[in-house]
Amino acid sequence: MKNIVVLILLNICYSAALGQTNPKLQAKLDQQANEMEKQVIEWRRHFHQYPELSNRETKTGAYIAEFLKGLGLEVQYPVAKTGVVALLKTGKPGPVIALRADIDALPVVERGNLPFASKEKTVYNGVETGVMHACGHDSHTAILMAVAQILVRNKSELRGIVKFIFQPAEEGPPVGEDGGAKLMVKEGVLENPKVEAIFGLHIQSMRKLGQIGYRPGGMMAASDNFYITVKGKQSHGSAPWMGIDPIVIGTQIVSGLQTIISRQTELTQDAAVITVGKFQAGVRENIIPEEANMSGTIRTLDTKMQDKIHEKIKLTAIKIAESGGATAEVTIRRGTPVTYNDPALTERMVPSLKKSAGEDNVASIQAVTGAEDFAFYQEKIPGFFFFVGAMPPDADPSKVAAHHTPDFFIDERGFLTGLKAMLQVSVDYLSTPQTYNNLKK
Amino acid sequence: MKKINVCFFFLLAAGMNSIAQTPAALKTKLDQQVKEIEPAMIEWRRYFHQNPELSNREFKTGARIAEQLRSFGIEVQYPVAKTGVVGLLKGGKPGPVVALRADIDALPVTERNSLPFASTAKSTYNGVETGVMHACGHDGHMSILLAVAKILAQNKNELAGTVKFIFQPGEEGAPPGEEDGAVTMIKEGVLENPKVDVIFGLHLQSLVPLGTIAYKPEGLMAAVDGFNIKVTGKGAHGATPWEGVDPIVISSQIVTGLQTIVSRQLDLTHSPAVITVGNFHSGIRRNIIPEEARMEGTIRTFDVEMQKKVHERIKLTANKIAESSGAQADVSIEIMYPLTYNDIKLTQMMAPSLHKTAGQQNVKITAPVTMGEDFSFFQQKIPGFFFFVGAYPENLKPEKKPTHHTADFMIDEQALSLGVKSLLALTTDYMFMKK
Repeated sequence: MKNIVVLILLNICYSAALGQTNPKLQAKLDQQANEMEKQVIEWRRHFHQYPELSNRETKTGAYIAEFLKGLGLEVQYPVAKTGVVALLKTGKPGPVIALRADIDALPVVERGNLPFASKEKTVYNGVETGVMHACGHDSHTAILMAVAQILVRNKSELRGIVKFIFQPAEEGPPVGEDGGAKLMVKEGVLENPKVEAIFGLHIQSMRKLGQIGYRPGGMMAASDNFYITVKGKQSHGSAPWMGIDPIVIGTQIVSGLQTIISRQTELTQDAAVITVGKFQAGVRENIIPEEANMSGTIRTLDTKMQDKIHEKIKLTAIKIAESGGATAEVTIRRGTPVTYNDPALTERMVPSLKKSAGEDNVASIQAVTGAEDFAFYQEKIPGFFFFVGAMPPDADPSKVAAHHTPDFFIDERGFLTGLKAMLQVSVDYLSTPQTYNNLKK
Repeated sequence: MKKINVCFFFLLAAGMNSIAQTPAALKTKLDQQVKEIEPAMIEWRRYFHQNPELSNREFKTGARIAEQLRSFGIEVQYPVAKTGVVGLLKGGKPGPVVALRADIDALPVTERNSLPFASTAKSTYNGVETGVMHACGHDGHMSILLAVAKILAQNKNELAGTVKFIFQPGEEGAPPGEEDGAVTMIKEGVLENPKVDVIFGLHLQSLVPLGTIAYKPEGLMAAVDGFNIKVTGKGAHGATPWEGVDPIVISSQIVTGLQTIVSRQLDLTHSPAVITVGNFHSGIRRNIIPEEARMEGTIRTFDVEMQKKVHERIKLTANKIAESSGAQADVSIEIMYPLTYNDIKLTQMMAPSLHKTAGQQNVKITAPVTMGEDFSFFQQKIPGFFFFVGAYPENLKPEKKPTHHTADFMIDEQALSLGVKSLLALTTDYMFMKK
């Protein structure tokens, strides 16, 4: 008897995990997604041609807000400077989910000769530059607009509430400004109504068209910066004994920092990176300078490891400096947290990805040491982030242009995969009678 | 008359570059006697070369020296400091007490030279069977000093003062648990009864040209100290370094860090310094991160303040680098040989004697040498002067380097006479200057 109860419970859990979208609705959504493809491409080309830098997405934000209002949604604009938030209330009880797209472009001069290539110019950090959607946020925005339109059309058959988040400044706000996901969270985007789970995707130029990649746990790295000032004592380059050489001591620290990864970090648990990206000391070949300044980036995929590495960086720098009679000041600035896919939520949503893209096209992937500010939402609530492939099928993966480069290119056929995946994840989650927390228990 | 005398004196002084006062007649006689003794001296040297004995084990050597000294009519104290010999010769006139020192021990080196008198001696050193060889020229030093003793004894009545002949064992370092030769001799009172005013010593140098002498005021040979560093980490499987604290990687960082003490922290224009990590032992198997690593090294300095600074910096560097990775370093520094320091005034005073002996152009001021020499212990107590006598074998090809402490070490026996003349000149000049 007891066994049977357990079996029934398991069965419920299992079907819940698979999602409960009814087959009729499912077919309709697929049909509508296919119909929308052309429109998504058109929107994306518009955004591609008129890219705007982080926290400067004024035209982009206004365009999105107007569109969403046109759908009859309750729109909040601007949020976090140029962002847009829209609410779809189905009127039926159910979970509150958020879907997020980032909308900013990069200071990159586009090199391709697409008819809709960007010709925009701007000034970035005092330097004249082109502007380009060189990371695919144009497609994220277009996909999410299509998701909104389709969900609105099928509102009567849905439950719960969907919050559409069009977020500015994912690439990082200009110096001295707040922005991006962090600011959106600060401005309450996850409250009123309180969001239970959040979903996001990233198109990828180096992943095969039609394929979806995800990773439970840490998928994209936390990115923190460190700044080390080694204070020595200035002297003539010919008389090092009169001073304390911050360059030699600084280089010993650079080597020492590498041993934190190679000797002190459990790399089977997760990868980690410490990069000294900048080392500046001195003004002239024959003067031993007063100090050396180094800065670098730390990439981690686990918060405990992240904290530990921060401590080790301080210890290593300070003690090695002392060993040469110098002092080291270490500042660590936390940047973007780990893009952490809640394992239970991931497990629950993977079947939806497989349903939408085909079993063989969905794979668990390696972690990526790049960072993504979607992580700020995941810090507060369970979230699931996945990659959508948009590399032309005949392309040589070793020659494909990387994100953030002038030749960045995506195959627009990838949008439909993204659109369907996002729809599937949303509708499956909304259709599940259990809340996330119940499932977790 | 007086004026002429003064003039003459100045000319003489300038010409000889010296105010040394050994009477000319005595000088001529001594030179003649050096010539006469040379064959015997070479024979003695060959005997010692063929019968080398390790440090503090110079039993036959010491006995032979004692016997010889007695045969010269010299008052002998034997054994001193286990196997050493001290001879005392009181001159016919009052004057200072001059000590002359030769070291008598050989090394655990198996000779490779095919000399007729090459050493075939064998012994056990630190539990290992080894050949024994006079691979540092101490055989020459002994023979030189025996010749000096014999000649001075022959001229006893004309000497203005007392000469103490010190044949010192254990210069190369005593076996574990035993004490250094010079230290023991000093403890046993070799510089007292009668109290020694000054000490002279020489070293034959296989890489210095024959017929030349090299010396240096102040620090000539380095102070030698040892250091031991133990880095305690935490053992782990080689595959999981994060579970341990790796003493090998940390110690490697320490080795590099120690080099920056010399390269960045010491005033090398004042004097050079050397820090050498000579051994580094850690671990037993390739895939085990060991618990600890041990390093040993040697420190060479030429200045007492710098020596202290190096000791402090070695501790700081090792401790802090170890701490930087979560390990612990224990550093111990063993003070070994002091600096071989030629008293400035004494050096200035005696250099003319060397010039006179070897010829002005054959006496050079040398760069300091980073080897150590336990003659320094005598110099810590009284003013002393130590110098090098060139003994590069005449017919040896220049590319062959008969380096000290190697199986190919070789000296040219012609150098012995210059050693004898030098010590005789230093002794008698000093006596007549201090009379």
